Amino acid sequence: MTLGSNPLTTPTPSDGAPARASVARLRPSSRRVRAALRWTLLGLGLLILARYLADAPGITASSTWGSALRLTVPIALVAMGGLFSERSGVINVGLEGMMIGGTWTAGLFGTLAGPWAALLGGVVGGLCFGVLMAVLCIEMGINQLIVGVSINVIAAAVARFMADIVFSEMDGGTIARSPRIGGDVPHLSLPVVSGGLGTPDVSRMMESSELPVVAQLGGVLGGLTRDVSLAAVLGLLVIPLLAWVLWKTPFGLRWRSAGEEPAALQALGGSVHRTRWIAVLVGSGLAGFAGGYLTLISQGYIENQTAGRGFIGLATLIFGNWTPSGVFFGASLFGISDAVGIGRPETLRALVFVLAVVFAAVGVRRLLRGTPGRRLRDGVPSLVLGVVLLAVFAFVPLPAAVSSATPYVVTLAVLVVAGTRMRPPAALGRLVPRRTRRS
Amino acid sequence: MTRRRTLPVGLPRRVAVTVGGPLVSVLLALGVTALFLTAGGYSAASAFSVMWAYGVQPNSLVSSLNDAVPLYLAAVAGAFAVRMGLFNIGVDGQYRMAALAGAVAAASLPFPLAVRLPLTLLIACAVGAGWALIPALLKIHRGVNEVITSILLNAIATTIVAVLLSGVFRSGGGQNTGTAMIDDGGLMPALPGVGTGQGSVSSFVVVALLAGIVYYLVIERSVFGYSLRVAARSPEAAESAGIRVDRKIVQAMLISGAVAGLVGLPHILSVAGRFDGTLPTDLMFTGLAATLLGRQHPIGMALGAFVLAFVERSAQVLGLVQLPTEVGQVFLAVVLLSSAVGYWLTERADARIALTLALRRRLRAARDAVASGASSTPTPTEGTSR
Repeated sequence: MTLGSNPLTTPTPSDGAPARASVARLRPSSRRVRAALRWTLLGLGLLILARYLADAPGITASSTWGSALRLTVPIALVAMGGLFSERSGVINVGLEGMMIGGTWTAGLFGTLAGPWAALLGGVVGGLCFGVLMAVLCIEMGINQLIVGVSINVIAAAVARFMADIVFSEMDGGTIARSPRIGGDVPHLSLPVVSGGLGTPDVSRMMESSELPVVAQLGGVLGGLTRDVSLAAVLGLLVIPLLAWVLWKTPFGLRWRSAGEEPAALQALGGSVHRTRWIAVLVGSGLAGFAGGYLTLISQGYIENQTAGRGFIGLATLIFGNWTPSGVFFGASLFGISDAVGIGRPETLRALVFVLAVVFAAVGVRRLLRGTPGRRLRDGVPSLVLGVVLLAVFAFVPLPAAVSSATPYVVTLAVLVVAGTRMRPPAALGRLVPRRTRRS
Repeated sequence: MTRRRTLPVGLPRRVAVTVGGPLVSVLLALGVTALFLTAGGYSAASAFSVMWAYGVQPNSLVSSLNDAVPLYLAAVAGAFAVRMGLFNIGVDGQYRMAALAGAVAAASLPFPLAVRLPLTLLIACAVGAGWALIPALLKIHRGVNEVITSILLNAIATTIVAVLLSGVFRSGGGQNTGTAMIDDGGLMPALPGVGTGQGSVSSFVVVALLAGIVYYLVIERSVFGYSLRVAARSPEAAESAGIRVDRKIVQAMLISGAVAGLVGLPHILSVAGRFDGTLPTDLMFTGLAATLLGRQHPIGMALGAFVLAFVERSAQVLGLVQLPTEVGQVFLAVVLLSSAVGYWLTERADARIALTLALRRRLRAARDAVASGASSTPTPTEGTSR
């Protein structure tokens, strides 16, 4: 997360050559890889502990983790779309609308030409609203929040109106859903680990062995690697690709400076407007792709199928501190808690336990080793939240009805804990007027 | 010399700009909606004429007025936050929580109407304000953007309302999915003397009127409103002038939430008589459209709310003549955007006109000066930066 702290400190050649990001600070160190490995193992250990403490086999079942993956992808994608536009300085509250546009066109393209066309259609639908947003926000300089909110409302209304005109006329379609999309994009499984390419399915054997630790490992591993839609793989590949573009390419530097200090970009001869246009368009395309992915899952456009995922993507973006890795972390947290919320109440209890331990640990760590002077301010809320959650885990029976709020409550709780570390792009929402024509 | 001319230029243009913004917005929205209708193979002209004929019937007007009340309250709630530079997208959750609380209070308080009704309104306000307090506190203490927390809290409110409704406040068993019916001692009485045979005007119009007056007095005519606007414009300047911005954020959100708490009550206390699934869920966005259309001006928002309610009501007739009733929704959605575009256009035009006039004035002054042989000639190119 420290990568985003000051992207403009790298010296830039001023002889007219395109700006190049310094890579010295960004090389992947073995330390970071080891840290990632350590955290993964710790997390797995915590999960296994929670599974036995709460007696909830669901928390490590492959079905839970499979649906967690399916639920993560659209949110990660739409949040990446938001990241694209917000890193360039354009607040994008219209992600939900772009996603709705994506689902509608995906439904249309999908019924006409199959699943791959549906994904393409999603991108097209998102782009329509992206162009609208770019014209209004970048060229005309209308308040970006207002434009975003309007796009959400317009997309919902227009999608319904157009569905009435187009889908109602089709065989098997109504105002609320398109005809079924025949077929799906191929699904993949990892060879050996989860039975891809005709190999034996090791993870399933592990899961059904019922040995402690081994069964849970098998469940998580199998859920994440078995029968994954190619669209999901594509969507997940976008994240590292985007991180690479953001941090390591000349365009990434221009992109970040358009959001941090547009004047500097202009002074160096870059075009803030062009950069922002590209960023908003690509971002809306990604949001539309997320809509297309949803359409594929439900095999057709269904009214309201986005169900506020665009907003959740926005929350994830802020949660992830405007970095690709943070966004991925936030999206998977949301996906996992959503998948757990769908499951049985004891699974939810297990999740509460995991969160309680994590929050308490973060709180204690901040109290002991945080920035001097703000240890109390940073640490206490987190610790208190952790203790409260532990108490909930131990004493309060959670009714099944509250589970639909799980992902939102979890995201809110994590935001509260992570809160003060947020640093949005400095020029977010700031309009850069086009330089007036020379007379 | 030139003072003579500066007086008459200002006023008519200001009026034109004030009226022009909303007018251009509505016309733009009509145009876009017509475009959609034509693209869908319908006749836009006949649709609009049917809508107009239905909308101006007395019954429709009364119902539009009643429908405009919650929109206006939502608009005022939004405007309080906007004036503080906040974006209260949590009105949605606030009014649903408050509507449930209000419905329960109105049905169960053992007092006569004169006590019960104000108490109900107060309770709804308190619940709305309480729900709005969460994002405000998180913003000032944890630095979390209020838009995000509000969105999450809206979703959480949905669950809380559903759980409370099914688990605690549901009256009777079986198919009943609402709270207990409110008797006549808790319902908002109709405004006597106004209305038509089939519809009566709810007294909530008075509540909305009061909310508008309070909004105007607080924002435009009080020290509090002034410091609020200063804190929104420039937090640094406000802090150095002794205004505590953190506190202003909390206060603005509290007021906004309190007004938002009233949004759902017209439906509860005048239409449904209880809290159930019929409570409209789109009041916030339509109210937001009214905020934007009226530019946070108390009268402008009232007109905006009425126009929106009028369109919503008159679109209902389209189903009878084989036209899609979604036209109304499309129009409402487009108004939201075109209100921004409309103001942008009129302001730009205004700026252009002002520039031309100023230039012409300068030129004429210069010519006069040259003609009269004055020693100092003002340069006519001073204002040509654009």
